[in-house]
Amino acid sequence: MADQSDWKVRPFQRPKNPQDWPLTPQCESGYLATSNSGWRTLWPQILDNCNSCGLCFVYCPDGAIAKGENDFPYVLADWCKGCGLCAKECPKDAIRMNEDDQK
Amino acid sequence: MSISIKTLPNPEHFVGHKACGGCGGSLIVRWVLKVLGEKTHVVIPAGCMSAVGFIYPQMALGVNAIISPFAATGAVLSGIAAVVRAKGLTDVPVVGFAGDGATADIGLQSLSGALDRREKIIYICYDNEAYMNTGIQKSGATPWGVRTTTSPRGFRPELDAPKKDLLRIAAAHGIPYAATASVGYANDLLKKIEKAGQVDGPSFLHIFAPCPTGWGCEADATVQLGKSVVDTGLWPLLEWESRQLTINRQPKKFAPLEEYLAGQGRYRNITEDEIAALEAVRDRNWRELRAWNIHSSVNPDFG
Ligand SMILES: Cc1ncc(C[n+]2csc(CCOP(=O)(O)OP(=O)(O)O)c2C)c(N)n1
Ligand code: SF4
Ligand code: SF4
Ligand code: SF4
Repeated sequence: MADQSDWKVRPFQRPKNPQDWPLTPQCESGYLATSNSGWRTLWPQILDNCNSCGLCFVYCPDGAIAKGENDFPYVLADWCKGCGLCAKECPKDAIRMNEDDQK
Repeated sequence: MSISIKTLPNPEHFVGHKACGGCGGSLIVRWVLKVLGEKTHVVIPAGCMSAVGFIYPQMALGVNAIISPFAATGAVLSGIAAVVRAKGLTDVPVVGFAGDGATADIGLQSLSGALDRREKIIYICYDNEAYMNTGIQKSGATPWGVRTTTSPRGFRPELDAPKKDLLRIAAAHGIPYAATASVGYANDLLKKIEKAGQVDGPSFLHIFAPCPTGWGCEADATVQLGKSVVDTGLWPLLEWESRQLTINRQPKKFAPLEEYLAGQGRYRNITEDEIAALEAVRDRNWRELRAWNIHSSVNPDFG
């Protein structure tokens, strides 16, 4: 797998025939069948005073922060759990934890 | 370019896992795989990181990975290292991520065997200081004073043996590289991962991994606790290399223990007298470390 954008939910269809089940105890590396967005009650909103230092990207345990244009961070709704670590460690106080308004 | 938080590579190899929000262990797995890259082969024994990474049919690791029996991390790593060697591969890091229970207790002989055979493996113990995956039972690495479900009053029997010293156990095997690190000191940790990846032979990293669920702390406290455990002197940052001990960070004055203990439900019983006793053990530990440090630099062969 490469960048965050490669990590997508790929719904898992339960096979009808036993021979169609994966032979190994799980699917191939990086096969994600379910989103984690339902875990969240808070959503990190990145404010304009962010200076793109990248610390939030470093500290997110879920790899849920990606770098966009000019390294400005954005949050991936499927993987963010709303833990607030990014906001706590942001040196510019540029992340506000709001009530989750994402899907 | 040497690794740091500024140069941490963008590719992700651990996403979509089911660890609790703010889990220190999962942050360590993510960082290590970023540093070592997509060719890494991973072994994870029974424990939180395998439970949250491999949930059928999901596979949250983007690299080759296998769950080993609880006691067998070192043995399974050795098997993979043997294949890598037999195939003449030189660019495949073989890395294990084991909890403190899997390392300090049940997997200790398997680890010892792998270190003794000088396998080219990187063994990482993410230390959340209890058996978390099965419900917060006390392990050999649970510090004195910590409340777990099997030590409800919070105390190990002997303050004199506050927790198994995994660095010394690893170093006693005479391996080329062993180190301690903490999620609170990211640059130090990242450099140690990079070094471990370059060692010809076994390397061992013992990494402090806060666990909000088992410790009763806030999910966003992980990095801050990882700093204060070092600043209070409870978790020295060390490197054992070429038979010599380096103390990477020597706080001139330790931060008060209360700063670290507050906000952790697992320490909620602790009294002032007990904190003073903990301080005394910490100070003794530092005296011994400094003596080891001086001794090993004067006479590395007997370090
Ligand atoms: C031989 C064996 N005994 C017991 C278990 C049950 N078990 C699974 S995970 C676990 C706890 C793991 O604790 P630790 O190694 O500290 O890792 P953590 O869960 O804290 O990440 C236990 C006891 C098992 N899987 N195999
Ligand atoms: S840590 Fe804060 S300032 Fe730095 S990139 Fe993230 S939001 Fe921006
Ligand atoms: S709230 Fe937690 S999971 Fe979400 S982006 Fe921030 S650090 Fe990552
Ligand atoms: S119980 Fe602790 S170690 Fe296990 S996934 Fe949750 S936070 Fe991580």
